Amino acid sequence: MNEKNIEELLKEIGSKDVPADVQKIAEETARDFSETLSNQPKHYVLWEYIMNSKMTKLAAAAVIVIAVMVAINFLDKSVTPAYAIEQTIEAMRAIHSVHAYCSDWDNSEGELWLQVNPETGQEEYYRSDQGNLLIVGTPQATYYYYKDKNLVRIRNGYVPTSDVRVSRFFEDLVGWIQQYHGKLSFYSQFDEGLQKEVIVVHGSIPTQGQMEEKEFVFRVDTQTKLPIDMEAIKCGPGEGIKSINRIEYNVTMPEGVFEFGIPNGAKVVYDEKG
Amino acid sequence: MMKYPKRAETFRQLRTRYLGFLTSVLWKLAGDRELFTEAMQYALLGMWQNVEKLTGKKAGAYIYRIALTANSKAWRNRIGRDGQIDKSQVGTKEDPIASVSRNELVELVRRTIAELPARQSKAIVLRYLEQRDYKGISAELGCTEAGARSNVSKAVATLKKKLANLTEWK
Repeated sequence: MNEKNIEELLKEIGSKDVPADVQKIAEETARDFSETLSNQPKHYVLWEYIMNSKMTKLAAAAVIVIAVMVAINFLDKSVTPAYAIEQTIEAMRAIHSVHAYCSDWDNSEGELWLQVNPETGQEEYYRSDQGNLLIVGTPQATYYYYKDKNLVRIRNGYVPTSDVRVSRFFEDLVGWIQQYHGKLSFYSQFDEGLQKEVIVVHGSIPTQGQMEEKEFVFRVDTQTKLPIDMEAIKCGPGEGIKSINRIEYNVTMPEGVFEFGIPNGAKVVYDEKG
Repeated sequence: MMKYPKRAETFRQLRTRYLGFLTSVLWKLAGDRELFTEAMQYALLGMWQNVEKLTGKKAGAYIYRIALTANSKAWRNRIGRDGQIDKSQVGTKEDPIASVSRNELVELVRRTIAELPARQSKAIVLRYLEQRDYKGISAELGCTEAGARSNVSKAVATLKKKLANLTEWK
C-alpha cells in the first residue's frame, strides 16, 4: 500500500455523507445529554464516582455527567449531610507535616515522616523507615539504605514519594484516578473501634501497562476531616506499602530526622543520575 | 468558574453551534453507529468540561481537539488496551494480507487516524474529511501553507507506516 492508496481511502472516508438516521442519533444523543444535565439536582448525594464507563448506552451518559460534575464542581458535592469533601480538601491544605505508622506486604512495621511545602502541597523532605529499607528524601539528594546489604544508593535531587501531593491528596486523587481510568466511591460507615461514623473512600485502578491493578481504601475522620488510615487491597510489588495504620498531622519534627549519615562500613553507589 | 445555570445555557448554545460539525466529523471518523454514538457522547462531555474554553478566542481549535479526543477514546474502547480489535465487533480476518477487503481497509484507516498524534490527525481531518484547501488548513493549524502541506504529508506518511505495521504489508 502506498501513500496514493491511502489518500484515496481518506478521500473516500471524507466523501461520506451523514445518513439521516445518524443525524437523528446525534440529535437524540445531544438532547439526552442536555436533559441529563438539567435533571441533576443541585446537591445530590454522590455515592459512586465512575470514571471509566463505556458509553455504549445512552443511559450511561448520566453516570458520566456525574463524573464530570465531580471533576468540575468537586467542592460543591457532599457524601453525607454531615460531611462534604471540601472540608477535607481545606483541612488537608493546612497540613505542614505528617507522621505515620505503616505496615508493608512483608508484615514489616515502619514509620514515615513528611515535611510539606505549604505552597506546592508536595512533601519537600521525608524519611521512610520501613523494614529493610530506609529512604531519606531531601531537595539535594535522596538516599536509599538497604540495611541487610549495608548498601547506600544515592540519587541526586529529590525523588517524590508518590504521584499525588500530600496536602492536595484529595484534589490530585481525582485526576490520578481519571488518568488511569479508575473508580472512586465514597460511603459512610460506623467504626466500632473509634465508636463513630467515618467516611470510607474506596478506589481502584485497572492494570496499566507495567503498573499492576490497584485497589485501596482510606477512611476519613468526620470531625477533623482528615484521613485516619489507609489500606492497599491490591497493589503490584514495589508499588506501595500495604497500609498506613495511624496518621498524625502537623507534629513537630524530631531534630535531624531528615539528615542521613553513611553507616559505618556501608558500600555507597550512585545511580545513573547521581 | 462559570456558575451552573450560565454554564448550562452556554453549553446549550455551543451544542447548537457545533452539533453539525461534530456529527459530520465523528461519523466520518467512526463509520458505524455504535462507535459514532460513543464518540458523540465523549464529545458532548468534552464540550461540557471545556465550556469556558469554547467561548474564548481559541474555540475553533478546542472543538477540533474535543472531537479528535472523543474519537480516539471511542476507538480505544473498541480496540482495547492491547491494541487488538475485538473480532466479534469488527470482523477482522485472521490473515489481513490474504483477505482484507476495501471496507476493512477503510476501517483500518479510521482506526489508525484515531492513533495519530493530535496535530497530524487534525491535519488529516481538515484536508480529507473537511476537504479544506491548504490556506484554510494553515489558518487552523496556525502555520504557513508550506507547513500545512508538511503536516498533511507527515500525517499520511505516519498513516502508511502504522498501517504497514498493522497489516504487515510491505
